[in-house]
Amino acid sequence: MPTLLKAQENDIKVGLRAGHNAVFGGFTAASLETTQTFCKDFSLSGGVQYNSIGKTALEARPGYKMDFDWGKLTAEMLAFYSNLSNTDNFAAGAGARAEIGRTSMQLGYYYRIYGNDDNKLTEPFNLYYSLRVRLLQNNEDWDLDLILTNNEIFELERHYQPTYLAECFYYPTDNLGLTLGVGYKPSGTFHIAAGYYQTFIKTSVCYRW
Amino acid sequence: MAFAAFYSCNRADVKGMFVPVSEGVDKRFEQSAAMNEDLKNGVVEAQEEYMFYVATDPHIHKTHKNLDIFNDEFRNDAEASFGVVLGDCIDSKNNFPTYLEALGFNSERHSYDRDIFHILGNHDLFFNGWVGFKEQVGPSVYWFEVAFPGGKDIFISLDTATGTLGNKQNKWFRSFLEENRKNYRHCIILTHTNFFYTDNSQVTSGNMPIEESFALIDFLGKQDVSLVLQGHDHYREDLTYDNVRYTVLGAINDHMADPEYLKVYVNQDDIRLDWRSISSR
Repeated sequence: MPTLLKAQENDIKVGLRAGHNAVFGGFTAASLETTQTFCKDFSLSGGVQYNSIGKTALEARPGYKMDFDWGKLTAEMLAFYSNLSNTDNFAAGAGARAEIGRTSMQLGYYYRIYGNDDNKLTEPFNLYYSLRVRLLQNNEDWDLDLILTNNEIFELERHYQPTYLAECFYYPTDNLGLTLGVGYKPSGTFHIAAGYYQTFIKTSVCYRW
Repeated sequence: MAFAAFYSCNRADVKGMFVPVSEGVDKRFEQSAAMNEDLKNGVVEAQEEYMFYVATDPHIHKTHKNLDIFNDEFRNDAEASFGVVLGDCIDSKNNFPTYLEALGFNSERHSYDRDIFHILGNHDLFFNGWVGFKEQVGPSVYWFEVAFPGGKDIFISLDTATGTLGNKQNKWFRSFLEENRKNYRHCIILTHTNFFYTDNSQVTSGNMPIEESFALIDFLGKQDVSLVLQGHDHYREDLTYDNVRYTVLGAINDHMADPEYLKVYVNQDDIRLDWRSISSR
């Protein structure tokens, strides 16, 4: 997911989240994420998460950044794996994200295969996307973003299943970042009938260099 | 312009696609439980080998030609034990009376007055439709038995009209099935929203969140469920996962190019599906 983080090339982040899910009930999750930049324009982002509903998830996104007069464009690839309820969930995709001023847009396509030892199913057409708007002016210390996405890290949903997020970033030093966010994931949007599915808060501590 | 006309004639509840416009699934579960003790909704007497009719997505607005054909054939079939409609009964505000009238028994045209079980679909919830559904059609979560000499099968109607079972229905469904599955020969699940996304027939037609799907299909496999009958997608699908057969019916509404319904034959060892096209009528 595009981050609009202030210009540091590498980071490592420890994240925690807690929330309520309509089906699984209360949950907590812990994650370890990192972004490493190589040769200035190549980067690799990814991490691993364990969620108390019994889910383990990993993802990796290599990217190549290009600068233009109007902003930045990053071509990226996506590799995703999770396991929940004896179901392996693999996805691979490719896309791009553009950062223009205070807005970041991401659009990509992914292919999913899931199942267990005896069964495998594929999905015919999946888009991943996000729209992130920096609500409050980017300054030295903190930012506030609003986000619409179906690929909030460690969750890769179908295109008709978005999550809404508000996320605040605070940078007390050049090397330290703190985040705090709240999220809401409905069920049944677009073509079913909307209902409540999940809410959560998330926080992280990030070391950057 | 066309969209405005569509919306103004009380058919497209755009608001309901993004924010809840009826009571949530937990409330609907509670209200369904209050309608029937232990959520039990009757017993159908049948033979060890029996057959029932299934249709889905009639989306009744003004016409119901295909549903009339389904109803006439069902109610004149001596073999049929009961019927099922898998949701999206209506496609315009407060149209449940038209839907129920279309599925009614007419002694001049019909030979057999048999039960039809109704499932709640997402379109039935639009424009606060749950109020009309529960009052005129019935509960959204329930189970019934088909009793035959020497045994019985169980049918469970799940409310998936908002794309999730929610907390209370999920807990009840799991504990109920874990406790009672052993008492029945076959277990058949009736649901509107289809569990799998294997085709792109409607692009955004929607399923449950994928993690809920994983939890459900794992559970249904462990409980040795025989068949899951689904609607919603308007496109036929028939697959087996963990020895559970998941079948999506094509829609029966009057706008479909190839409307269909299903006759399901159940016996000791097997469940056989007989697809019936209506387009040739």
